[in-house]
Amino acid sequence: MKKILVVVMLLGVFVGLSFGVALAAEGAAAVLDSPVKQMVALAAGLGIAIAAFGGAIGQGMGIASALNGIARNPGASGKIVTPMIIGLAMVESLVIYSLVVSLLLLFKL
Amino acid sequence: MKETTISDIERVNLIILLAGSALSVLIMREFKYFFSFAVGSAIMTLNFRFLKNIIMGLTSGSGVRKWDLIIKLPLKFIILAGLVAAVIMFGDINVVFFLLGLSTVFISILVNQIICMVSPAAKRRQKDGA
Repeated sequence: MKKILVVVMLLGVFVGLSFGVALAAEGAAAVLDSPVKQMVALAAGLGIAIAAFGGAIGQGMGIASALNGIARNPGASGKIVTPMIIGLAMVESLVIYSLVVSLLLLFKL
Repeated sequence: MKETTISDIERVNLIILLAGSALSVLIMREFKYFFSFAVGSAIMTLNFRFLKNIIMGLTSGSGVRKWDLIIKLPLKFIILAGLVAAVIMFGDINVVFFLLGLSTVFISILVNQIICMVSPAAKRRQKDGA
């Protein structure tokens, strides 16, 4: 019961936040008058979406393989975790590059 | 070949942060470039450190701790994204140097691998035919 309550509360917070975002987006949509700005917004959204999609798949595959290896041979845990952390950091860096480019498109162009 | 350890990469990260910041201000003669590189590099260095701490905490214990997996990992990413967004929106930064700073982890992994390859132990092993 307590867990359900926590989930419902979290959902409420998320819905509230998304409402705020939607209101902000409505205000921003009025500013997007020129086709160039519309294309920039589309490019920023698509860019971060593709990067997040690829990064999530890459990280998921990496973690799944590493956990599989650890489950098969728990003694090799130390040797498996180090390359996994390096791989995760590299994938995350690529997603952050995309985030930076998207933010630059939105706020500095 | 010498084995790569996370602490080695962290050390190289820190060296690149300091050396890169010093070089950027020395070459460009303006603090804007120093700020851009240092902030990007510090963000990635901290990100790597927190990622290591969270994953080491996950795998070192007897079982998976829910707190690490559900709260800490997403929180780390949200804070990272927020920091990057705040720096880009409100900071007076040079984009090229900021991206160079964000590449610190890439560069440090590359440098660390090169160090491992040319370390005396690796050379000795190559000489012995191992």
